Amino acid sequence: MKHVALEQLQERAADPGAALDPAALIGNWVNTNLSPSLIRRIQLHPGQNSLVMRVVGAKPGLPEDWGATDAQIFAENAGSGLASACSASFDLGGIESLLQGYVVKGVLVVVSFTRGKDGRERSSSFGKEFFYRVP
Amino acid sequence: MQTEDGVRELETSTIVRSWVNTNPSSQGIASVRLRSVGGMLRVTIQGAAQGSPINWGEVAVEAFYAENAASRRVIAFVARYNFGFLETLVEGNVNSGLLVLAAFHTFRDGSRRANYFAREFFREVSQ
Repeated sequence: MKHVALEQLQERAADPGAALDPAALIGNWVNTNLSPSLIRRIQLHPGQNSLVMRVVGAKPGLPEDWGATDAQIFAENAGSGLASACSASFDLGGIESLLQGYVVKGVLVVVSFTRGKDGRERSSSFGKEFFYRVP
Repeated sequence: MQTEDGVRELETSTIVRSWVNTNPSSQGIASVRLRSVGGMLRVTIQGAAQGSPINWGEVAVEAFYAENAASRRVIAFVARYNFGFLETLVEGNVNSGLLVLAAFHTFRDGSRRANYFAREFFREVSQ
């Protein structure tokens, strides 16, 4: 079996065509910080192929509603059927934000990679925020 | 060091280093090396193996990021490996002297493997 790390020698017992179970990710998530730097809320819900992520932003100068986009989901290892992480990219009109999220002990940790695409004098930035699930 | 579009000078010494996994028994990524070549960043990764590590080769860093929009100190990067049977998106950030590396693996070979995510920690070693 082709691999570039030992951990890739695991296989799923399930049908390879079976989708990952996204239950750990699905829901409405609110930032644990009452004064968030980038994201106020995240919604993850099932889409046609994977998950759809909708973001409510908190950063001045960026839209409050980032809209919704498809999020790719990932298991915690190659042999698992449970999704525990996701990745999505938002185009905010001149600003691109790549979001990577993973669930640890019920907390959604979101790492953000944000950069301007318009050539203005502005540095790219990196951030990490924490979210709890609400009904 | 400049961004891809060359708009601004950034300081990359925080991440341009050699890093080894804090877990010597890791089955994922064994080591990471970042270097600056001609003003651009490049990364080399070694995957864990039973004998010698598996060299993933060196690729250009797609993008690098400062700690905030006002800072010029680069603390994070994104790079992508395409192995044919597997695509891996790697994102790293330095926190308290540790390189935290997240790898998002997407299999393209139709095998019974799930696309998976792994997060590992690396300490600095001499170049």
